[in-house]
Amino acid sequence: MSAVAPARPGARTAARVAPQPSPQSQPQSRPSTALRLVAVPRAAAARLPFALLVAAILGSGLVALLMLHTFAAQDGFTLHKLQKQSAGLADLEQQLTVANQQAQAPSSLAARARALGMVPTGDLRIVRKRDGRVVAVATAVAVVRPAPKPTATASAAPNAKASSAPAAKAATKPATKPTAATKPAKSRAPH
Amino acid sequence: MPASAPPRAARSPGRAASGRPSAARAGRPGGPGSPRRRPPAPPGPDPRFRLSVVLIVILFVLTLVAGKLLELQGLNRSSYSQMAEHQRLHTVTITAPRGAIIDRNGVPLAETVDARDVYADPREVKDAATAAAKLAPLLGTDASTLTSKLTGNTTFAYLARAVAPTLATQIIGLDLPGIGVLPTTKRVYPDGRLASNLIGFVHLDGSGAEGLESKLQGQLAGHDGEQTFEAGASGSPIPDGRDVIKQARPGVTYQLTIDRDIQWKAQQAIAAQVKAVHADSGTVIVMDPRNGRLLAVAVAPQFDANSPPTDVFNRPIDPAVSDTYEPGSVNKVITMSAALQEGLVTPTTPFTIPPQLRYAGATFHDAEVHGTERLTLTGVLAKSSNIGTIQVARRLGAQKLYSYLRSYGFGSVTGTGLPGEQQGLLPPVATWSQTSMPTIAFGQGIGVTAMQVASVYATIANGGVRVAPSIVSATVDGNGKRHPVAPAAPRRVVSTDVAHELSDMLESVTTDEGTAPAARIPGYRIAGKTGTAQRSVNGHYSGYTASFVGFAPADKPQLLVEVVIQNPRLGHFGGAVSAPVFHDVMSFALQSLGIPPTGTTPPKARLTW
Repeated sequence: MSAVAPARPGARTAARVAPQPSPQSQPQSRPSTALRLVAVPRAAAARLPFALLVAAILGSGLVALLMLHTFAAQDGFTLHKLQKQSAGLADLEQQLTVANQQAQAPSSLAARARALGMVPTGDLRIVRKRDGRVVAVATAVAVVRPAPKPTATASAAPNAKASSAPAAKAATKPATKPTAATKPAKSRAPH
Repeated sequence: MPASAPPRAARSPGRAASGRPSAARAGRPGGPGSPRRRPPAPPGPDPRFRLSVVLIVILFVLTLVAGKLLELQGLNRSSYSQMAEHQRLHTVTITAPRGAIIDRNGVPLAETVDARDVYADPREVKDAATAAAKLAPLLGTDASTLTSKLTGNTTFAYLARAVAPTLATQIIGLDLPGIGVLPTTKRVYPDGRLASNLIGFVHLDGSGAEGLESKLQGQLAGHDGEQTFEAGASGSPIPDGRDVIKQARPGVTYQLTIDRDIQWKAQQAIAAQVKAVHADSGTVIVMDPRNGRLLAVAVAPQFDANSPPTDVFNRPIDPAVSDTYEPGSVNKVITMSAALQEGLVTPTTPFTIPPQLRYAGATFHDAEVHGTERLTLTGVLAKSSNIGTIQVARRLGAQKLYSYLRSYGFGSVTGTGLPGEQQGLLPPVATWSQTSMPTIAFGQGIGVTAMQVASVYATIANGGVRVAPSIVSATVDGNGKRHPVAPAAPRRVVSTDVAHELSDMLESVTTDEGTAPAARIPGYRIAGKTGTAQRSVNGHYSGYTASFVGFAPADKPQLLVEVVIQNPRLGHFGGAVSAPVFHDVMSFALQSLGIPPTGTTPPKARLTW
């Protein structure tokens, strides 16, 4: 501006000079001016690695995020698959449990016992342990055969605990004493 | 200018390339006078104009995009977000598991398992015949029935209800278009005929239809929950998506007092005897007289709860509590106990029994023709003399007899809580005619249920204290916590002494001189009473009701068994028809529960004088 102000009368010249300053001439013409273009930072060369680093961090972050999501989704799929498998197995277990219960039902047990040649027990022979007295007498079972054990139905076994010893004794000779006295009138035919 | 041209071309081949055609174009019309000049701007649109057009197009497109954005995000925002949510959000009902019904040992009598319904969308079925052929063996149905379902003019048809999940998996494995499965539940009765008269069964939708299933529906059913979650296109849940679960409240499980094995034995025995004597029906009740707990309530004929017959709704499923009949001689014990309690007689009080008795203008006979007999009170009961009982009742009077009948529970429901329970028919004493008192004394002219009679004998067995029969021993809530159900409050009907006297008298019934030697179980002391009553059918008598009710061990009663057989055609006496069933069921139950004989000797009862 200092150059322009005195040249006011010759505005044309001033106008011609003003647009002319070239980058080369400026520092030479005004070396002592306070305003100086800031020098290009030396760090310019170091920028590239930094940018790459940032890019790499961002990139790896993105990749990590993507991986995380992928894994989460994959886990989701695995979970879904395993849940399905678990449900299938639970269904199977339930089905087998029911089949087991049906096989345990008294009617099917009785049918299978009959198929094996078993017969229902008559009256139990119960011997009192204290004095060895027979307090209940077993009546003969109708069928005489080398039948396996007393024909204990599933229920009788656990409940016979209290008197298991007498019961076992009774079982040894169930068919040997079909005396008339112990035989109750079991005839089903009405008189 | 000419000097600057080559470097420019060299510097920017792109520009040179683009400039070339324009130069060529310009060169052609241009004459030799202007070869060195830069070709003028092509006569096409002005670049600024072009820019403006592009700008306008871009702006237009952007406006469209913005408009769409505004529409999506602003105007129809809620509806679109709702649609999106609908696509993502899945709500499934979590079916509350129905409570099971278990026996006294925890064995399930009724339980609910997962199952699948198989359905078809006939519009999507490609080849109905092939699909039907593939499905028929799996579903166990006829291929032609399936084909007609697969070609129906509907969008939905059930092919099979409540099939096993493993079978459903096989069906899905066939990958047939238009065939799918839906989750559901199925009520399973591991032994369909066991206690079905008590438990009943369920409708196709799983709700109770009959019996305890129906009566306890509210508690058995529980409350459904639901799960809302976000899912992808495949239906698998989106990780970290919304997932709201409202848990289902499972139904209450009921533990009955029934013993599965005794129940089975009772059913077997009564079914066999009903068949053997050509009877209409039969009932067996097994009870613990000390607390009124029912160990078995068996009826014949019995239906299968897994496939209930279609006519099952036409009649009550549990005749033990719903069938009213005239009790006959089993009622004599009430007359006797009343007279004993009132101090009018003792077990040895002598009675002279004429061959027949005229009373209030009517003539009464005994079941068997006899001359004049000299019987004690015990003898009257042991031989089940009608005439002797009338003589006792005359000392007692109608009013007293009525009040004891009420006191033993006749004319009101017993309190089992079983559905369809009847209170029987006990006319108020004011309406009794002259002949009512003698006939009611030996058990004709009133209507009772088998459960009421069982309760009378349980009262005597329990030392004169009545405990109402009960069927539920405990409830198990959804958390598996067991809540025992206490037996009903006991109520004294007759004194302990009278009960013991009666018990001794009842023991003489099973002696050789009594009416029911067939009920005897060697080693055990058995007290009981036969009943042979005329059946009232539509207002007139036809056929008989043969019954036997007794308890053991007589001096320390732990079990009571009652057998009622309706309209037997081969024989009709309770001692011949029903006592053998009592013997079989009682001896099985004694063995099953491990009840030892008391080892005492029965008192020598005097039947005559």
